Amino acid sequence: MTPSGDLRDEMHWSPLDERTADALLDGRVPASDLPRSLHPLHEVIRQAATPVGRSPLPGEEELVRAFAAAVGTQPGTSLAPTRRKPMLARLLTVKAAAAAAAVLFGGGVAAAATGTLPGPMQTVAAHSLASVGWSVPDPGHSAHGHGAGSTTAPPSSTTTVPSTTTAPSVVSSSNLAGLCTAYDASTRSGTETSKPNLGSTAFSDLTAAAAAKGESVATLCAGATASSSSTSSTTTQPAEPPQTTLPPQATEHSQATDHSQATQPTEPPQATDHSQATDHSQATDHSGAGSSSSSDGSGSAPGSAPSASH
Amino acid sequence: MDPDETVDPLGPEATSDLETAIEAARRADPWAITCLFRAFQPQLLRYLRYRAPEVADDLASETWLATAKSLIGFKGGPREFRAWLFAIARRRLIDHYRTVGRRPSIESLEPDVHGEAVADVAEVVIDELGAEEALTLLLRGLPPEHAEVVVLRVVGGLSAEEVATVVGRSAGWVRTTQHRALRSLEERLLDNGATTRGNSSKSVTP
Repeated sequence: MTPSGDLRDEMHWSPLDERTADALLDGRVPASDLPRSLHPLHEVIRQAATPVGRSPLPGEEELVRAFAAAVGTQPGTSLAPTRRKPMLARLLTVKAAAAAAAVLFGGGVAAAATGTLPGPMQTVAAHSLASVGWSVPDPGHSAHGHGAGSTTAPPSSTTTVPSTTTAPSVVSSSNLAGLCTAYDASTRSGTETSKPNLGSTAFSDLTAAAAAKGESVATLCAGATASSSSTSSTTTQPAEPPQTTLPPQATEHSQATDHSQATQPTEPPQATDHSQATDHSQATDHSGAGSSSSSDGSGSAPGSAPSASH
Repeated sequence: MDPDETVDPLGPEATSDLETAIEAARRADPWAITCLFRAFQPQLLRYLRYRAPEVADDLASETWLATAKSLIGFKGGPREFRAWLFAIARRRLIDHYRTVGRRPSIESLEPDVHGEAVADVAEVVIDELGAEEALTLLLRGLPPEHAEVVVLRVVGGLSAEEVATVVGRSAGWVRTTQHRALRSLEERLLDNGATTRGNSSKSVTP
């Protein structure tokens, strides 16, 4: 059967044959080359096409950082081990330091979040928390610090990208974990009368993130802190998981889309465990292997050969 | 916009930039990654939003990271890169719907905000449609499979051959499908008098 024959039976005759349709969809035929009756169609297609954008996009900075960290992490590739290792070591150190700070100071982290620590202490807190991607007031610097990834930040990146997406970008996953730790610490250390100050800048982000998900702060944090504690308990494991321990592909997205679930106890942390990149990194690490074993895996990804020699 | 201006981010001069960017991205160069991201993320996001609006951002991030991990083994230029990106995104999409246990549908997109704006084609000033309204108009009434072809062609900027690779069909099937889709829209535009601004010089065969 020829589709055009079918169409002629039930539709008006039209100059719109298969070739013209293809050319129209390519968007490379000027309206002047088309019969007038096709101009409206041409115009609709032209309008529906995605405009070229060269300006910063929401989430760009985080994604670029995560991408850079993930390049070559596919098992079997040998790119840039020297580049990633020190970063991993540094981040783990910073993370451990931050975790220790959280334990030692308890509510102090929460205090740092609200800028209420004594000056020098606030500076230290600001710097170490900035290293894990969490910005708190720093008496020494008026600028916000998202320090950890600065070495890989793109030249034109900015933290004030106008967000056209919904709220998740307000607080990245790791920021979320940090804020939740602070929230939690604040809740526990506080007396009945000193509840967490949800009006503070840091916590208002948290509240916004919770609102965006339609959850309470407590609910949001229950997941986030569970996830982060599971991660920090495995910090001594290698950066790249043996592929044999990977879960079936079907589970990958439940984890990817629900950052609060720590469903893979054997899963080691990724190099960029401090930022939103982390969760995605972990998620896609499975997916990389998943797609290598799935029938529709990307044919042009020879780097996906399993390797357990890490 | 000039009517003849292409909206393809893979214009001649952009292509050489992107070729450079792909090479540099293999070395994790942030500038290069930013280039690729800005060139293709808007297309990718629109495609994913149409199929899975609620998780589109997450799926896009996963797609980029999966891309990063396999980039070393990637061979090709910007066009191939884009097709590859969409192929990965589509697998993510399918996995997502497999996980949540339902089929992707365009119904989830169709009736919402833009639906009403283009309810009456006759009242639409086509020249003033926004991208989303135009897309909604383009996809209205199409079976999901056909709609996806149109989205990949128009929003993703992929060629018929590239779409065929991404959706796992033949290029002939893609051409037939897109032809039907455009004929369907053309009919709707005709039925609603949207072409009456021009001379209706078409001959009609019942």
